[in-house]
Amino acid sequence: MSKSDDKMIGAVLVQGGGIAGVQASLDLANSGFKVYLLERDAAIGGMMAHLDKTFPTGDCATCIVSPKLVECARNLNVEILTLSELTGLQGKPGHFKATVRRFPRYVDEHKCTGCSECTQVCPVDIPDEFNRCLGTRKGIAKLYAQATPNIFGILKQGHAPCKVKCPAKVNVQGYVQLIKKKEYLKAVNLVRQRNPLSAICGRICTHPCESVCTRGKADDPIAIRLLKRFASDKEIEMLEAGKLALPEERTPAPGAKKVAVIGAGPAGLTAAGDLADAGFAVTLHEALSAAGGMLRWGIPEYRLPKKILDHEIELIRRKGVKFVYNSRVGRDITFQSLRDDYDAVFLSAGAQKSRKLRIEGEQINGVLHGVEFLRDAASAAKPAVKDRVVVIGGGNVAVDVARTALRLGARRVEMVCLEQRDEMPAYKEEIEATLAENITIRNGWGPKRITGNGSVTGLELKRCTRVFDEQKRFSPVFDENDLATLEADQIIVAIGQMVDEQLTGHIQAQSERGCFRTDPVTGQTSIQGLFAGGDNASGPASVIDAVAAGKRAAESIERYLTGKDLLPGRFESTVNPMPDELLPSTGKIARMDRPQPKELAPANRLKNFEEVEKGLTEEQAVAEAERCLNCALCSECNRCVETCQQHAIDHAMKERTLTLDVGAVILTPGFKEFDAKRKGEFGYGRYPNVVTSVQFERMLSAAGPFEGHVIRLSDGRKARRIAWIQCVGSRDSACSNGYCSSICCMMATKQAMVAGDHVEGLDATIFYMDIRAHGKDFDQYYERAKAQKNIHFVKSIPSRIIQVPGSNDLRVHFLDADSRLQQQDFDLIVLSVGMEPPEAMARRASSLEIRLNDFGFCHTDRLSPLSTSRPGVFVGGAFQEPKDIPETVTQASAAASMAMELLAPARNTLITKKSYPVEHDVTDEQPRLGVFVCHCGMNIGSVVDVERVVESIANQPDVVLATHTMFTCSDTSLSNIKESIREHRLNRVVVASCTPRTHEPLFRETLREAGLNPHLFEMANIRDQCSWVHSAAPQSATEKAVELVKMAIARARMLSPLEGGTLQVDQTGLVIGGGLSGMTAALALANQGFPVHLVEQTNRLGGTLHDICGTLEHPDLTQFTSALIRQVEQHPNIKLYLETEISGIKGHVGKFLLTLAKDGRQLEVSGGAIIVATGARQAKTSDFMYGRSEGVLTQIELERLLHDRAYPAKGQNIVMIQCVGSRNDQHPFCSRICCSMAVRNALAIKKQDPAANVFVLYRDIRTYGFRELYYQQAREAGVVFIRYAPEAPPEVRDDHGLLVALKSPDFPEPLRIETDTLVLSTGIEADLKNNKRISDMLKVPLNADGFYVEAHTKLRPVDFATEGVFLCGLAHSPKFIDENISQARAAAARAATVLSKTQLDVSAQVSYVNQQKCISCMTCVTVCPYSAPFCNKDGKGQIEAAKCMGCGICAAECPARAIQLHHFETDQFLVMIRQLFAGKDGELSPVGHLARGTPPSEGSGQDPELLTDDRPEENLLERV
Amino acid sequence: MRYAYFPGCSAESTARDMHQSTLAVARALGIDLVEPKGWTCCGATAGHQTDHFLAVSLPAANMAKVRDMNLDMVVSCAACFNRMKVANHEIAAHPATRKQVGEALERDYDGSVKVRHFLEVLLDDVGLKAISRAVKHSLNGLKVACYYGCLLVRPPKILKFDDPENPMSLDRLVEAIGGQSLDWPCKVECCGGGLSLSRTDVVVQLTDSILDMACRAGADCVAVSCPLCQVNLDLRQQDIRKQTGRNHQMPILYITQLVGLCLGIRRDELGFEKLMVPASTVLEKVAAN
Repeated sequence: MSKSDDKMIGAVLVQGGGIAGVQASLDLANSGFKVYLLERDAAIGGMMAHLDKTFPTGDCATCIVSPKLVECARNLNVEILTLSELTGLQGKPGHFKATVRRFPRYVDEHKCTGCSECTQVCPVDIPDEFNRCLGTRKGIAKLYAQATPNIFGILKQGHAPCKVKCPAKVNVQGYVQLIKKKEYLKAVNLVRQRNPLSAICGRICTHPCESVCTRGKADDPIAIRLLKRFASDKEIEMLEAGKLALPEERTPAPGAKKVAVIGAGPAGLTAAGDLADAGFAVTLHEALSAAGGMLRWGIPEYRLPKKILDHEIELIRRKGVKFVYNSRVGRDITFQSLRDDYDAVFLSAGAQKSRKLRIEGEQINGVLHGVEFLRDAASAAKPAVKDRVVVIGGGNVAVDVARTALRLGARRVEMVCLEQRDEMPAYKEEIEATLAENITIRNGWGPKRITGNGSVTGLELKRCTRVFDEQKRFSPVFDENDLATLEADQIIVAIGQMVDEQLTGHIQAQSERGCFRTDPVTGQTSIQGLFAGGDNASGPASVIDAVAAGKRAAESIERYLTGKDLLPGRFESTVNPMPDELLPSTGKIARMDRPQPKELAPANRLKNFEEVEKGLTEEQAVAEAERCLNCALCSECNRCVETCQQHAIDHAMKERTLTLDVGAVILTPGFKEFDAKRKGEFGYGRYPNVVTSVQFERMLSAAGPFEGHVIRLSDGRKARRIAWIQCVGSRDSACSNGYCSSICCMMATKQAMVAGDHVEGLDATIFYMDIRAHGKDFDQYYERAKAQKNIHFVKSIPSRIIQVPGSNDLRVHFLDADSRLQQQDFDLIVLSVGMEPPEAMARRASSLEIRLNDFGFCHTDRLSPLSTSRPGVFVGGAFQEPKDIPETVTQASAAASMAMELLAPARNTLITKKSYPVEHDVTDEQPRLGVFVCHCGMNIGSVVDVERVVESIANQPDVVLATHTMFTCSDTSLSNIKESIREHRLNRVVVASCTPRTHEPLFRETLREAGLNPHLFEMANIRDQCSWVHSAAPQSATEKAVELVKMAIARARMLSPLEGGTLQVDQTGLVIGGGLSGMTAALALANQGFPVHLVEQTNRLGGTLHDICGTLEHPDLTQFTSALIRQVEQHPNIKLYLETEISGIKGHVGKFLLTLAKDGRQLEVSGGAIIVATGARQAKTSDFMYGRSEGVLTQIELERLLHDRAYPAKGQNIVMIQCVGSRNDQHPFCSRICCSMAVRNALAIKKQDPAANVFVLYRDIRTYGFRELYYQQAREAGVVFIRYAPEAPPEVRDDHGLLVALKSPDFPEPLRIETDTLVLSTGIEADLKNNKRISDMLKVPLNADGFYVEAHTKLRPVDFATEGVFLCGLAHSPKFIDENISQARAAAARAATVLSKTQLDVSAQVSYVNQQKCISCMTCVTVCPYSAPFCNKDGKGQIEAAKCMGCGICAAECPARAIQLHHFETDQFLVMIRQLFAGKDGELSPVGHLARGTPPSEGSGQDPELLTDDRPEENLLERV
Repeated sequence: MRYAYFPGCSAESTARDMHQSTLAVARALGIDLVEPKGWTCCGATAGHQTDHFLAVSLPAANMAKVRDMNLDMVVSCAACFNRMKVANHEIAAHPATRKQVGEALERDYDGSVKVRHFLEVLLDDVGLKAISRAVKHSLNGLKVACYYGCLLVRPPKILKFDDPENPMSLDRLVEAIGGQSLDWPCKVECCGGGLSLSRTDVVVQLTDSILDMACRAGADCVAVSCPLCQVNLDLRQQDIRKQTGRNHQMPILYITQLVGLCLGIRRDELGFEKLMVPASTVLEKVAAN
């Protein structure tokens, strides 16, 4: 191996763009690694983006997650690959080759600006998976409103059955959708792309499409043929009304290759048109005097008016096709001359001869044949028709013949055919029309003999007993003894057609069964350059088959003439059927009638050939198009393609595979919700008012399908009585999900609380097994919910739900507290669906060589919770074990820390740092403003008159350039801005477009690239604040836009360049606390190469870990503990301080100073980041005779005895009491670990002596996640779990032996247990004194229970609000060993984002104190959440820029107005306000005279007030 | 279409109407039903509750007889159907059981006889289309609440008959003969058949709630295919009236009776006179067309 091979790759692949993937990516990218973030969906955000609110703070989930997503998208070192999946992984840790499959978005990510115009024109409405099918979305859409990346995408999985079934592959769904949107011309054009005979097929197509229409499974198939007819007729109507002109006539270019088409039937017309479109010189030779073939000569005019036929032939002629009539091969031209004169020939002469019966009497005068009869009928010389006509045959031609004969004057027409009525080959509607015209049909008879003497007198029939054999082949069997006779003057035989044998005689291509033999795919014959299609190649078939043959031949001939291969990549091979399982379900569709077109009354039909069937009315057509279910999702109608001005849409995009070189992989694919349909007893999918918990989140969400209204789906009524059913698909071995999903209890509790704000008079009931509120501060939230009068918690899982007929109310059957069967009715039921592993991982695990556990989650060990079975591949989030948001975020950071340790040598090797040109100094320049007003396509432009806005502001002072752009954020426009800055020497830029939230960074970046300070930029939001909110009032919206832009201009003139500073980072870690968490965090940093000072107040490492003998999975932890301690002690990067107290903390992120006190000596150490891991301790109790009776132990004491095999369990009665000293007024929190500990000890006792009786007295058993399995094991082992109510705790007495008395809500009688050993689960408590001391020094908060408070419970679980200080372990809250390990590593990863940098940028947008105005009140010091202000040596307030977060609270609170926030200075806002009111009431003058340029700097003495005018601000603001 | 037809004990007693109508419908549709000679109890009585071995070997004894006939076994009683299927499953899945049963029967039986409910024959072999075609009198939009009970569909993994929560077989058949099948919530609720004699009070409660739902859904009648359900729902209406005062007057018909009626079979051949709650409303409605 060469040396370069040996270098680790400093890049990490993260699979899964939920909050875990996003957090891991940010931590890695911010500490010097390149990240590929893969997401299977079209946008990142995962489940969190679906949630409405998060508890306990009631934050909007989207609002807190969006900034993270945007941060991810903006980070130069995070490459987001959406619609991507990791499918293979080769190599070893540090050197992986990852295979990534990228699914097509059909939208170019780099071109799409997110303007949403495509979605506005998209006609397709499909169920919105994001909203869990509670609403619809468009075929082209963003995954959700705030999606990152902010671009659109199209959903496609295959083509609709109608298109697949159509021989010509006409995009049926597409034109049906366009008709729905009344885009009739576009619809016809779409049809004509695959079928030039739109109006014709709209009348006479056999519509195989309708036979496979998915809608047909629910009620009736869509009337596709009639819709096509409707749109085509609209076109003709417009032509006739002069609203539309025929297309220009074209002529082929001189020298174009020549093609001859023989026969102007549907196949010939189609091929000729296509070939002319392709630029060839096409000549169409037709044997008869007019074009159309069977369309003209075979189909009677009452079905297909000649006008329609002529119209579509004319359209083809105008493409440049030359028609030569009366030109029959063999008669008027020779085949040889065709071969000589043309480069290619297409034979489409049809099957023009009638088949003969070959029975006695067929030659008698008065026996006619169908094709010839119809041809004559279509010509000027109508054939003579006798009184009594019998037609032989049961196909469409026979029907046409019969009906034509009637119209030509026959008095009685009878049909005879072999087939039974339902076997007849003619279409049902044709047969019905025939019967309606009083034509009789004799089914099941065959002709035996035609009688007559010179002229026909009748027909002898024999009974046909069977038409088809078992193989469905035509093989009639007759009963020669069952005969009948019919009288007739005329007999017309219409039993089929055949190709004229003369034609095949002239052309010596191979033939079989009388037809030309062709390649089924290409239509090529045995002769080079000769192609054949339509009836003369296939035998008699339908019009649409002929069209398809014409299309195929044209494609072949074009390829043939341009020298291309005929076979590969043909159009038809691109049409793939939608998989059946993805087709829309038809179970729940409301029946809607298919329209019946008007018809000419039978009485009026017989006198003439007037068209019988009338088309649909517009109303009918649009309503019918609405019935389409959009099987293929995207209809490929191309409206988006036409509309997109960025040309971003490409329907032909293909799936791609990439290979990425990465050093490590982190799997954060999240979870899949349990499919509630699997619990059939709850009626999900059957009863409309049963929804899942995720659907309910979407319901609550203001951005959801019901805008936050909680309704019954059955009738839209407000849902007032709502029930939650917990553990649907969790803790349920019956559906193989024995584990607990951990999050549902709190989710339901939160949902009930939030629903209370949405629903007046809410009556909520939560049916549960145990309420698992085991997280930090969760129990307090649960208690608050319980205290609500309208939220009821019922410990019972309902047996079933039925829907009360008539009302759609849901009746829940459950056992009440007294074990009595109860029924209660609700409006809405929410099923709290559990978590299952993501499907993709089940598929991919083996190729990634990742071991899964029995449930399909990632297999991990409790002592290394972030490592998969494959080295170098790490895991985080719900895929590892069901968990909530804070734990997911924690694990994500922890997994990032694992990757950092592995790849530490490769840190900073692959990251991109952007360099910018030197900033142009604008200090002494007069402002020169460039203003760019954005149309945002139609988004702004359709409401706001953008050009007027530009005109109105062009003459504002200092504006040197005012212009408008279609999409200001597109790459081209950004280049233009840069160019303009140079050309016009702009030194301020204003963009009026969308929101600064998403776009300001982009424009600031552009300024930097052009050499301008990014703070010289200002933005006006004329989309959200004008075009969106005032879309109904364009006039006012425009005026408002003008005002907003003027205000922005006014402010921009006041802007000044700001320089953020940098500060040097001391790349050393400081860890306080030497327990499991402190040691783990210290090692995680040390392994990355950072020196660490680890401070421990006791005389040994290990902390409370020494008290724990083992866990459920690892009975003995001694080895683990000692190995960990040894590693820390021996690590060269760790400097250990035992028996050392912290006596002082100073400094800020990048440079902290700890003063250590050891043995009375003081010592100072410094570092760039601090990790607080000070732990907690086992709670003490004196309840339940503890300390007074020998038989009373704590769980830890019992565990020690069991571990040391010192506990005599033999035949004993053991009682465990849970929640001793927890979940009460003194300790309102849950200690999280005690239930599992009790289960573990109980199992150990049972193992030691199965005869021992173990009773666990509990309130809720909180064995969440996979720990639930041990709870199940314990019950199976015979451990007895008895519930007690907190208001009636067990009573313990010791009179000659312990006695536990209890009144359980689950037992009718009081219980008394003679007890040998009583075990108390006393839980964990904070070390209040120590925590108080440290938190004071760090200026970080503690909660009411004495635990440290993190910066944000959900998304910053290991950060403090103070930059550079992090938190982990029991000091945060009670938790298990694996959770402590994760949290410690997470803290290390977060610290590494600081320590990995040599210097930190300090934001320029910080506050500063005007020292002259400061009155030393120190309000700023009190109000700042980040401890940035301090009292300086002059006794004045001063702000530590490194700590300032730019929130502006101090500036707002400062009573002396001594504080200003850079870039948000008072004068900058005052000019905006003045601008707004300038000239309005004559009092406030325009602001043109105001001073500009240099801003006041700290201590410069300039007073912002002096810059405006003498008037005190108060007065000014009062006016406002 | 030829099958070995196992009538079961109720076919000769409480459910003679089921038996009669099954045979009549079979005749009308060209289904040939042959009774195995010397058939015995299927074990659905006290047998399967008291002795697991008996519960398997009794049905096995009957199926072994059918094995020799080389025909599929058709059953019309849901309880018999359930016992046969479960026994087949036990024997096929557990070699030890097979051996034990073999010893008792003095012959080996491998659990391979295909056991089918008469409904399956109608739906799959005859087909709904053929039945529709054969209908002489449509049900004329009669509102039918199809009631499956428990034995036909549970345990689903063994019986593999239909969706255990929302079965549709009967409903499809009802639609095919011109009835309107109702979407109602008690298709598979327990009727209390197993407690019919021992805890009549419970049965009254259960049947009352089922019938109440059928009434609310607007049913003209309830269609069943299990003799235990039929007896329970039909017979207990009297007790319900006595105990609660509610008079449901809901006719409880075998599906075969409804199908037979539509095929134009005479009422006396279909056992209509055996119903406790007379089906006069149903008969009037069908007669109306």
